[in-house]
Amino acid sequence: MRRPALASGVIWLVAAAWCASAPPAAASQGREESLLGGVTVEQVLRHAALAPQIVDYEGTKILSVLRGDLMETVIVNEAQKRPGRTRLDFLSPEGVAGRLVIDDGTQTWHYEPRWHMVFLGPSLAAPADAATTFDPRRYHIRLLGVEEVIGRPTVVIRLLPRHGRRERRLWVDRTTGVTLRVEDRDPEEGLVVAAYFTRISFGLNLPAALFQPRVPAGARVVGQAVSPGPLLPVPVLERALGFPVRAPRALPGGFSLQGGAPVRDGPVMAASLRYSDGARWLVLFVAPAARMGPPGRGDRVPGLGPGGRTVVAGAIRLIQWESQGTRLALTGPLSLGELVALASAVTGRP
Amino acid sequence: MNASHRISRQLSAYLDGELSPEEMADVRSHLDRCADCREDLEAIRATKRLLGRLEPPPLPADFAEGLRARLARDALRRLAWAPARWQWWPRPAAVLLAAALAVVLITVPAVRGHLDRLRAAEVGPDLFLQAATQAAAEDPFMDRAFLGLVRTDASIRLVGEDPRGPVR
Repeated sequence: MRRPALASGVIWLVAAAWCASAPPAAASQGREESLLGGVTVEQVLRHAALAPQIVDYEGTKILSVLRGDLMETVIVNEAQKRPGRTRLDFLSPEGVAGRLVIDDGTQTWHYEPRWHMVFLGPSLAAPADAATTFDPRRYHIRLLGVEEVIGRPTVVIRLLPRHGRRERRLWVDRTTGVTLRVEDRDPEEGLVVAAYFTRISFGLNLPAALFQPRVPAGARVVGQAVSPGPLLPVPVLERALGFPVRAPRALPGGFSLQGGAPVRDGPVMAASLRYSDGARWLVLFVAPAARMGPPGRGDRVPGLGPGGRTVVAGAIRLIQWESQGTRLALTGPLSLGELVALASAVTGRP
Repeated sequence: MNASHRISRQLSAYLDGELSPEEMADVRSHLDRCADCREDLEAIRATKRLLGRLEPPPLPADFAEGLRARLARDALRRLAWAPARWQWWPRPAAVLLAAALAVVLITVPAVRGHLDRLRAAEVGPDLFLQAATQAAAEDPFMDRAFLGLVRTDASIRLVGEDPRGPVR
């Protein structure tokens, strides 16, 4: 136990020193620094963003995810090996038990034992430079205090996007920078997703084989429709898809268009356009209504016309509607009200 | 119509015995009272007698050969008509086949397009959620296990399976 503790201490010092070289926060951090032993909240956040690159751990995590009107509880074993490799073994409920996800930082490999299928897709790991690119000016950041989670001291931080209403609370392990607990709360919808470890072990020197996927004999391998390529300018996207893609270059709330990518899967051919305000992301999907019927699933949304529907998966909500012969969908970590307001900005009259 | 006029039209049939017993008695009774009709009856009877004495006109010499030739032509025409009619029967079938093919060529793409449109509407939300996880991965503080759950659920539903019921 002595060596992992020593290693963690070294990691903390290195991370703190590295984070201290980052630009200072605009606001005074006197009270915070006294609570955090001379480290600012922003430095803790940078450390949390850096943790996947520098810390190994293995633990059991409980996820609470909003699905429709209900919260679903999912238990998963999560292992991480630096730099940026992750393994998820889903344990319950029964519908996900046995599901295995291995992410090597470039690709996600998902094995579903019930159907003996393997799905390949782009990595879900955060960008390796996330600690550097994190811009605290895009948030209202507040230190809420210091608490223990599973017997470990954590720094509790509230992050509120400067133009947003949905807040995130992080419980960041003081020693390693690993986020031991996270909650996303929406003023309209309440808790939309929560994740916390019920146990965790650090510095285990996890074997590399745990993070090397092997396709089981006879398993069917399916590629995902998600394109891992770079974002394209809209004119290039239009040429690739063969239909006009009308999308505003900016949306209320500070969202600006980053670029787009084609989405193709069976009969679906749509343009996905990504927006960002520096703290939040949005994806707008555009497809000709002649090729895509009205959504038959999801709750109806007043104000989005007869085809207006919404589905929710925890922190991610999706709305769909039709305007002038175009099928549109907008998704992001926003409340229904925020998305509907943005939809009206997209089409002018949702 | 008066009785004389009606009886005069029956006199020829009366002479030939073609009337019913009641009509014969009626004509006979009228002839007893009407001199004009008696005169008419005698004139008709004389005419019939004269016609009965006439010789039948001779037939042309080539009448028999002409008749046989005409019968042969009619027979040939009937024979010629029969194959032509049987040649015609596949033509309606071909027309029907062409019509069916045209219907198939028009309706199959339309039906397929309609089904594709419905399928696109059905899988759209899962495809979009799956694609959205890539954008969400840019957020360094978004929980990775949560993202993994969203993406894997979407992947399974995209191949037509649904272990836990649809996302509402």
